[in-house]
Amino acid sequence: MKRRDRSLLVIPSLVLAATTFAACSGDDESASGTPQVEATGGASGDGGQDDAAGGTDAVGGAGGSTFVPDLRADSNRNGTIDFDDPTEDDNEETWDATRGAIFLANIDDDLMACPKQVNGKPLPDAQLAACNDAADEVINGDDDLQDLARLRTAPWEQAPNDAVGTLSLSTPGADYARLFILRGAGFEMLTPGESIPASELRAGIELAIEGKDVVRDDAIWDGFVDVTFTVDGGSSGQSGSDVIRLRLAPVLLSHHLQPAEAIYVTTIGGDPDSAAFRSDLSAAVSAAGVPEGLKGLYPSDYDQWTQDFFETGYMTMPAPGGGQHVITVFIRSANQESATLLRVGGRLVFEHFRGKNVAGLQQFLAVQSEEMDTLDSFGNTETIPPYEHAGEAYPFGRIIRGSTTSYYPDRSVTTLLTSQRMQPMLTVDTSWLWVSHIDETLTYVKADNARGWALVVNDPALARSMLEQASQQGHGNVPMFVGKSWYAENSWKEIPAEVTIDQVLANADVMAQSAQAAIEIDAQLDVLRNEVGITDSEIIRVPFLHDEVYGYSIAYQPGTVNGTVLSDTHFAAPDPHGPVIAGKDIFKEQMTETFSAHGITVHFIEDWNLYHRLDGEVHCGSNAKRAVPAIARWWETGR
Amino acid sequence: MKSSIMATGIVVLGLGLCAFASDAWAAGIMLQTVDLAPPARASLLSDIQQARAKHPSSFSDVSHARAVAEEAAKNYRGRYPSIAGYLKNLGPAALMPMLEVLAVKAPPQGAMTDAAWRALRVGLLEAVGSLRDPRAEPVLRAIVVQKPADEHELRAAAEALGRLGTDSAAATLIALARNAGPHQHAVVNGMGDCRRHKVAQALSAMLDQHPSQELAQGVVRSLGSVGNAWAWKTPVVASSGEEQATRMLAGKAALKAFVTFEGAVRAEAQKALLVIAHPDAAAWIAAERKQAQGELGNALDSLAGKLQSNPLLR
Repeated sequence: MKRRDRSLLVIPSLVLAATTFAACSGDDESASGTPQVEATGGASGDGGQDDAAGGTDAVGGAGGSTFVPDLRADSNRNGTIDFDDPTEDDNEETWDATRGAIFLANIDDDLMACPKQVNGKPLPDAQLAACNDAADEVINGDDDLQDLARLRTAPWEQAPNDAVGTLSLSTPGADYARLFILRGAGFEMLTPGESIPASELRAGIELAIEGKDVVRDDAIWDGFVDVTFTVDGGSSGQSGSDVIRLRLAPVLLSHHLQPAEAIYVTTIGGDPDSAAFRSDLSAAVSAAGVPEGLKGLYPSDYDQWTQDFFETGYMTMPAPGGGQHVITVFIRSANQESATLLRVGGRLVFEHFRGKNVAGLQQFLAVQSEEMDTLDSFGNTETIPPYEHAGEAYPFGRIIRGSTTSYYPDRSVTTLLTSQRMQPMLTVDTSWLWVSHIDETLTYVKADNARGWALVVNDPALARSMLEQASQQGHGNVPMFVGKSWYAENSWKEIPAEVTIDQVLANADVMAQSAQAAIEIDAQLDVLRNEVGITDSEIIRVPFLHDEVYGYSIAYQPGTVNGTVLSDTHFAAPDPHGPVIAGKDIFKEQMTETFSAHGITVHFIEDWNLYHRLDGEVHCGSNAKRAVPAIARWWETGR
Repeated sequence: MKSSIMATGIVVLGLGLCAFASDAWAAGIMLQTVDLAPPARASLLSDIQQARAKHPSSFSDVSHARAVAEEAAKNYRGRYPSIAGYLKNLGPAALMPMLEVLAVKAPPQGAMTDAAWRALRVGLLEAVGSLRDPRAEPVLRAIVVQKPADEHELRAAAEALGRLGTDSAAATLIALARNAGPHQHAVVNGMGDCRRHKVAQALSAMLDQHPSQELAQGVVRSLGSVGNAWAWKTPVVASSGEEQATRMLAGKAALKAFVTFEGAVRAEAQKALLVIAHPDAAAWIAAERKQAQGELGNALDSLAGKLQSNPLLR
């Protein structure tokens, strides 16, 4: 339904006082940013005062006012369009950390009208993703209108009948944005090159702009578009233009200091291992006070790696009253089942999540190496929390992924993420790991230190020293992994996993791989020391050993770093099933005490059967939607 | 008459079916039995027979690995499907069943997908290697010498052979590594698990041959593995009595690589020195530093600093 939006406050212009005008001599005012005007004759002005921008005030009456086209958007980012406010007009054709208008990619589905099936069959991947509110040329309801930024022109009450205006978008932005004009009862699409009649020029026009897509490659389009309002004054002999630069809001990924609003987990009905995992996780989520609690997801193929097949983020633009308008973004992973089929679980991005103020996003290359496909799982995409280092500020943190020059995720996804520019990407080497995900060795929790957070890192050396100490104290025969078994499909017998401390210490392959892992993790830390300025006092060390698969490294004990941050004070970790000495699991005890020192309660989650022995852990089997910062002033970063 | 003809026919048919079945299973999944020298073949068949009598359930467990591999190929995490976790944990009683599948008789690939088939083959090799039983050596050597076309299978076989740690295993790997070719990298990788002084010598000598950056990186990584400080603390590796000599040689060779090469090889050499964690490494670096200037000097200073904070020694 098209309607005039009344939620955006537009202060009526006091045209005579506020609008800038050129001098009656007709000199152009270039470079200062004020609108261009050409006066070729007709009545001269009455010599009104210059305004702050250097033009002259308009004077009214048919006796000879000079018209200057004046297009306005929320260039001062206060959520309104103010003709009285010179800051709204100053340098409006520029865009930087201090000023510039913003619009959103309108790729949500406010009416939840996008189809998910055709003739009872799932839509093909491309078709599923193609539908959103910007895919058509109409505004899809009241809620959809909220997603569009506004522009307005100052009325030209003296416009002669043969005056005509046009609006144009710069290239390449014109391919990625769409203008609507308010007419009658509502907004309708403005056709490129369409003429604005004098009647509308006299009243002033109201426009709305939507982005058709996010920035996917800033080398092709960087998110900026100039809207030019041109007026041919006809018999008035006046003409001119005004330009406003707008920028498309980037997609920002969430970090762990943003409180979790919901935790997601795949539900496999009738599976006791899934039930056990969900039961423990649910208790932890409740204890953490996550507002929407634990939410079950039902991918059609029972994909239990909930972390991997989607990532959450958001886009924002200023709203009235200092607020912001938010579209949550769910990104589907680029994992491929085959050359023609993306990972099935990722369909939930569109079939389940896409909706009102929730966008679904998908990006992938048609051809990707089978071996590198694991890097496209979102367990390999995390966000370092905000920090400042070496003179640079990262108020939204930085994306961190496992990637090397020879072993890397889908390049088009990397391009999409880096093209957002707000969270410059950092890469570390995860190629030595079997699954190669960044979450296998590193995570981030809130901490009461100058940084505001701490880096949690796997420490195989600590694990070994704990076991050595226990052995030296006479506990070498104490078993670990008690009651656990290794993977046996098709209801074959369970293979006991129980092993003693001394047996582990004597396992040459586990010891060798753990030593190598310790060195590789230290190399990862070197990157963070250099790029983030992390110091040892800001590191929380979590002990577990590694084993070898295909010559690569995998957690031998449950990878307790690979847990989920539920809140600032609650962390869900895999149950380590460590050796119990004096009634206590020594690995649980170590982790509990270490986190407790930071005010964090650790909840141990049973994940052995469905996750650990299948090469993943709690974080891999869960996902989170996190609260958007109250004001995400990405526009002030200068990026 | 008709019944005797029919009975004869049935017998012939049965013999034919048996023959067909045995023909289909005349080989293991990596070797044909004839690929083994007669004495080794006879010894293996005898061991398998004894194991079947003693641990019959292990043979069922190993035969189930096909189903495990097929399931893993449908739903796996990581680069490829892997069933090593299942096979490794069957324990020592599974050695002979696994060798039988590898080298004596097993169903062919049949309807198994390529991914599942490779998971089975690599899993068996990795599991056999983890047992470090010298009775596996003839089979592993024969597989390595044949140089399977799949690099992961060759690497797994080379590692498994290396883990035996015998003189003959080391000699086989050293000889194969000398020849350039597609197999070389996989064999060099496998040498890292053969923690013997002669292997450290061979790897060190390879670095003196001005290898390509990629090969040098693999050689250096294997040097680190050969000298791995924690591996040498385990009885099975320490039993050779060669710890001191091997780790010293590996460490010095890694340092030489650090000085000689740049870029990725130097980075790998740093990791190798840290993994080896030799107590004299700091002194070696200090000696090298005296002659080094400029960028190399700075790199050696940085290396010395890293050794001081070696995570293995915290």
